[in-house]
Amino acid sequence: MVALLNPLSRLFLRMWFRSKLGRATPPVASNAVPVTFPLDRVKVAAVQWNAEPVGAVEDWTRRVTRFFEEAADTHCHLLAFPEYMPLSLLGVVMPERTSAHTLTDATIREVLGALAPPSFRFWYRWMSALSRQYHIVTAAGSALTWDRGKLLNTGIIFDSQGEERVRQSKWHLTPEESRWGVSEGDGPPADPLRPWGLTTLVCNDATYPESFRIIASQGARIAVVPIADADPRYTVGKARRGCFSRIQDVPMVGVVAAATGRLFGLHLTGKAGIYLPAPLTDDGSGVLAESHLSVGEELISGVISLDRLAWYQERYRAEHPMPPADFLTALYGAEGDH
Amino acid sequence: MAEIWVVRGEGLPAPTAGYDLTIWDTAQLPSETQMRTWAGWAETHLLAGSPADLLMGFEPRPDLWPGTHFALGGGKIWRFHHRFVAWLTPSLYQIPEVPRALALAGVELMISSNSATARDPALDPLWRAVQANQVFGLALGPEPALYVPCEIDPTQEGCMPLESDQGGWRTTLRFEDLDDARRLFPVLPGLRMSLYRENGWWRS
Repeated sequence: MVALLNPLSRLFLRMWFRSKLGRATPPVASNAVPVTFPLDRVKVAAVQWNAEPVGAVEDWTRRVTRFFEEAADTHCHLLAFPEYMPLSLLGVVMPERTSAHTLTDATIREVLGALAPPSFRFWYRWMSALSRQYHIVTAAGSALTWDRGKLLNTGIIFDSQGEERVRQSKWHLTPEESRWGVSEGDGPPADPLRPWGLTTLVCNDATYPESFRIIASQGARIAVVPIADADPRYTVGKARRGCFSRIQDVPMVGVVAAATGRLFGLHLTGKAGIYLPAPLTDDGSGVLAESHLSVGEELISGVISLDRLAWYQERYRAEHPMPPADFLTALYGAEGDH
Repeated sequence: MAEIWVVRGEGLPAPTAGYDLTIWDTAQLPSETQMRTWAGWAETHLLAGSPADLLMGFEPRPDLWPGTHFALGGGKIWRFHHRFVAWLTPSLYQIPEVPRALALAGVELMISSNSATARDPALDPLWRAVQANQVFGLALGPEPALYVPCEIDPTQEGCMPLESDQGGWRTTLRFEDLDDARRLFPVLPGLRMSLYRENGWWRS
């Protein structure tokens, strides 16, 4: 079992990790090219990612770059990555063959806290640079970052010039994250990226219809949900109770990008998917595209029509009006969280 | 644990022994006398519902909640074996705040009268409400199904068919299983009430 890290060990680990990451510099894109994006038919791609620890930083950068290349080659406008994208990078200082799989919650807490700053910076710089290089709007997944003394699981969306446009921290943590020292995000939701109404909710936020009500009230029409489900047994039922279910009742486009594989004792499963309200899919299934297996890597894509979505949302709101304000105030008015 | 017998159609079949509750999905509600007579003869609780009778009003004032402890007018909630049961039209479950209010108020079995059986349970609003609130759901379509939180279904799909029995269908509910589901995947304890109040989408 790995012992708790003392402050010197934490500092050393962070410096060692930073030096490893420093050897891989992101590409310097040529001058930004103005890109015109469609207002209606948007081609969306989502990544299913093998999150197992990498032995070398270049393994991570090469695979990420390959997804950008494939998305660009197939004329995608939006590319979505999963939750905890940089965690695989920890493999360069904590190889899986060591005792990393026996880490206690307390040690994980220290390791994640210590390595969050360099891994976040690295992920941020690469995602921004590749968005700019390939002229693709990128929902970069999520990563841990410190903000005013809190360790947050934060999703970021870059525009096609590599500029950060949406930053949203996870509101609803899993019990594991709480044990690992991650804090709940709070404050107002991010403004969706216009004109698409693009925003992100991180993983377990999609369990809660309230999350989708909040972003819908901000004008969201496309919700990207990066996930990393620590569940060795994938079933359709468990997969459908998140984003898929929420966008049936609060209609919008749902894009799921999934991390899979073994990561520091966790066994992640999940599928990348592009989901619509069922009546907007030809076969009535609500599934526009979905990866084939619940482990491994794959890029899926599909074309969504925001005009059709707007038509459906209007009809849906008329048929399924929200309860009156006084009812909702009473429902959510209880003091203190549950 | 409760043994439940589900019947559909115009007339009630002859009572059968061994059930704690009979749920009768009918196009037109019988008179209260008819129901009391049948229930007394069968020595079984009887709950009857028809699509025309399962709509619900919204009343936020507790002192105006008729026949129920909940902020949902219309008296579509019953008490059985110290458990609360709600029976609503499917479209009401499609408004996420409705099953949320029911679950927070203590409802543990939600019933809907579906005109058709969903080819995929996830396309049934009741299934989604069951997973979001970790309660039991009884879908009374042409082929009734019991929806349960995925955690307590051996297949982890959250949907179990009912067995045919004497002109109806039977199922067993172990309410204590809901505690296991909520322990394994704590959804309701994760609600962020203060966040929802601050961002109150109903005010925009």
